[in-house]
Amino acid sequence: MKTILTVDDSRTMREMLRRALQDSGFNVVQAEDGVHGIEVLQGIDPDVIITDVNMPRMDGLQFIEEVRADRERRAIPILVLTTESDAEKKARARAAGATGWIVKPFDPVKLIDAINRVAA
Amino acid sequence: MDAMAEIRATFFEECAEQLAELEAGLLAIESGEADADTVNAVFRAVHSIKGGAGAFNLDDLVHFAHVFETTLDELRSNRLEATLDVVRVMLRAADVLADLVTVARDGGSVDAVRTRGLVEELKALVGGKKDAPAAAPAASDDGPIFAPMVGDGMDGLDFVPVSVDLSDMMDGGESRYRIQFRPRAELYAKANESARLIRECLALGSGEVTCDTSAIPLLTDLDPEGAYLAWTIELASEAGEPAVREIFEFVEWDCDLSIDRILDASAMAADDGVDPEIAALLARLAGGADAAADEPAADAPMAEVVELKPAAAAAAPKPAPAAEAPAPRKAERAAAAAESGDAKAAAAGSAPAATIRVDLERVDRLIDLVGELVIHQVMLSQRVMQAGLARASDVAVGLDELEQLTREIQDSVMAIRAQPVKSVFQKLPRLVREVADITGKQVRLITEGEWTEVDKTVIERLSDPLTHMIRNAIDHGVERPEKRVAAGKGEEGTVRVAAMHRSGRIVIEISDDGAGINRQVVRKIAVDKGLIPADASLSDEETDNLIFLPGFSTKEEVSELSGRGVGMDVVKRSIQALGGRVSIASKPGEGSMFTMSLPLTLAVLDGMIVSAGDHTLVVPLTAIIETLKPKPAEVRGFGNDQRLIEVRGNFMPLVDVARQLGYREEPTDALSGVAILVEAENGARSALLVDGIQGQRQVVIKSLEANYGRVPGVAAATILGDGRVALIIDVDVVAATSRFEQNYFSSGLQAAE
Repeated sequence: MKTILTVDDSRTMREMLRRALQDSGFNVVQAEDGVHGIEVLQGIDPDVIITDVNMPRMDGLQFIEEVRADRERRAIPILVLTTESDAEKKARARAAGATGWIVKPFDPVKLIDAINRVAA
Repeated sequence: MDAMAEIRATFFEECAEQLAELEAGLLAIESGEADADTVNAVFRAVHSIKGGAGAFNLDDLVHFAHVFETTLDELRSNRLEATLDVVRVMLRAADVLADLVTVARDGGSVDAVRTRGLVEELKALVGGKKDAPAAAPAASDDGPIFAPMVGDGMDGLDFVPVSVDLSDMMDGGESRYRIQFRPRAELYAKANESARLIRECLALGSGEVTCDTSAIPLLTDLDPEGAYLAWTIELASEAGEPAVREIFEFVEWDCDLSIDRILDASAMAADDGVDPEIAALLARLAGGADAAADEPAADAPMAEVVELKPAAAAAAPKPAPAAEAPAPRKAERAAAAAESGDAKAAAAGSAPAATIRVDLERVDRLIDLVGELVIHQVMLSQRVMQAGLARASDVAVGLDELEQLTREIQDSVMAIRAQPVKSVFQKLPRLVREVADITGKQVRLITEGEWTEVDKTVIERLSDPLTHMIRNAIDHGVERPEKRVAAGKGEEGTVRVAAMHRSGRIVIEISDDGAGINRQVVRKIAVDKGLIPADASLSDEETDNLIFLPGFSTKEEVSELSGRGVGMDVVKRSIQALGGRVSIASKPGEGSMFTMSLPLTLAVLDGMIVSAGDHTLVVPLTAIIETLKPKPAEVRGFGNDQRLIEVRGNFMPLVDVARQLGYREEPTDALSGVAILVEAENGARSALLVDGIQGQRQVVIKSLEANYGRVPGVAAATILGDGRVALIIDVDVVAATSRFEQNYFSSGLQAAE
């Protein structure tokens, strides 16, 4: 079973992701922001990470940079959640090292497609 | 509840938190205490609400949040200065946002004019800024908010239904593509993988892959993380070109990619004559797709770039330990809390507390069980004492320790239900703004002790009386600006709401620096309404307390905003229903202060244990004014069966409790019993005649309705130390059943003391 780490400060969004992912047979681990995400990553090795951008303490972009700078974790595909299909935001996410993105509100089918696209 | 409904409930819970955060942030900005973190938090709150609302198709909410967010973004990126006027517009926008959330949750409708007005005001703040995604919804107020996003759409994932359907419609038959794909090292650095992409292409149909290995250097020159391979994929697929492009959507910037449609020469020959048109159409679509993919990148707003990085850097200086980052913001709250002298607040504010969410039912079950535990512990202690064991014996000492622990467990469990009054206090700024607006007064709100904790149920029922008292303080207390200036005060009035713990209760003071109670007017109203005789001689305090009398407030003297028609008597009653009391102190020209005190929990109660007939009963201490031994001269017969007792010149009914509850047929001897003076919730006074008083102690409240059924005259039950069940008297009912015409003057006046 594939494990997905979701990093989002919104409980609503975390729950929606959890439901969509669990329904498709993924194992889900949640973190509340970038700092928490980094902590959680010390204990698990997820197949894919899904992260929000705008979060307190450590935002999604910095979180991605930290993961990419970690020799042990740098190969984990990371999908970014963006509220709008804002090309500028995507460009910044890419620059930070995001593998891909998912647009909120997300269609569960598209979500799973995106994961399958990046997950080994 | 199905999963979606649960998530929806979570969303609204979260909205409430975000709205609170939003308002707190805006107020901090207003008072000039804000830093970049505050502005970011405010932005994030609105952004988050918008995100969730989108998921539930709450279009109105999404629309408004979007406009709001766009304006906040200007603030965040320092293109808009947070002047007082700007922040006030935002505070009102926050109010509208809160209303929209409520409507989205509960149904109903919002004030459309007000909403549209604020949309305009918010847009006006953004001014002439041409911000493509924000400007588009601005063009049509009622249009779908997501409209501009569709323009950005060839990315496929960006909008759900369009791209795939369109391509499917166009591409009825099989097409052939030549995909040339040369990844750069960046592609791999972002955890994308060529093999996966190629496999995905082949999954669309069938094809042939050739790999170009010519760029691979000698082993000594090979960078293990370099990119040296290129592929050409000849694909035959029924999928349209957008579907093929979608596969590469995440990587197109990190590779050289060309996707060419190979028009089949033989097919062209067969369908002679038609094809040029199709070919042109296809070419245009292909070109259009490219253009659409490029455009947004080219003229996308630069809005987001500016602020995020520095903010993020400030929030987490290097690899910050988890708890440290939010400290600066919390520290302010802690400081504010410390000022109000609440040590718990400082502790709560210093670190983000780890929390779990627990079903309230489970907590209540636990509280119930601990109640049982307390009862059994007391019973056990009594049995041991009765068995004649020495106080210093090991068993007795052990029991003492058990008692100590039991009390601690009880306190800790009660504390689970305790919440800071903050949740009520944070609604007050909006209330004050609105009432001040309507009355044309300038009012500053000061809240203190918002971290003071009290039982959840008390908090829930605190909101109404508090709201009313504050409305009252602004409406009747604080003067108009010109009048204040004339009185030598500042134009802006102050309403202060402070919560504190005092002797096992929570005390909330609501004070204003207004004109104070106009005693002549109050007296005149009371006389006009027949509440007091024209010649009554009243102390200042008694006069002030007249406002709590039922029938004092009526439509004539409440101004338009108190249209809800609630008098202070109702406020008083709802506080008493919680086992609380309220009083007023006023100084002419200097202001008034209402003080209400409430029990910290509704699970235990301080009661007086009394006997009536062969039974033991509990009278809630909050209802008791005094107890006295009736003297022969004070007790008078009245009508057939009733008796009155005279207490310092006032007559009140003497209620024979044993008889009333059916414990005894014949009247209780008044002279050998004890009269307990009680005040019912409506302020009426009576004296309960019981056989004797056993003592006073805290009892655990057991619901009679849950365990047996509703019994008139009995509020609940408890279990005493000796294991006997004792009923807790419902003072209101017992006092009211005595058919006696209440005199509100005599009873009400003393009620207010």
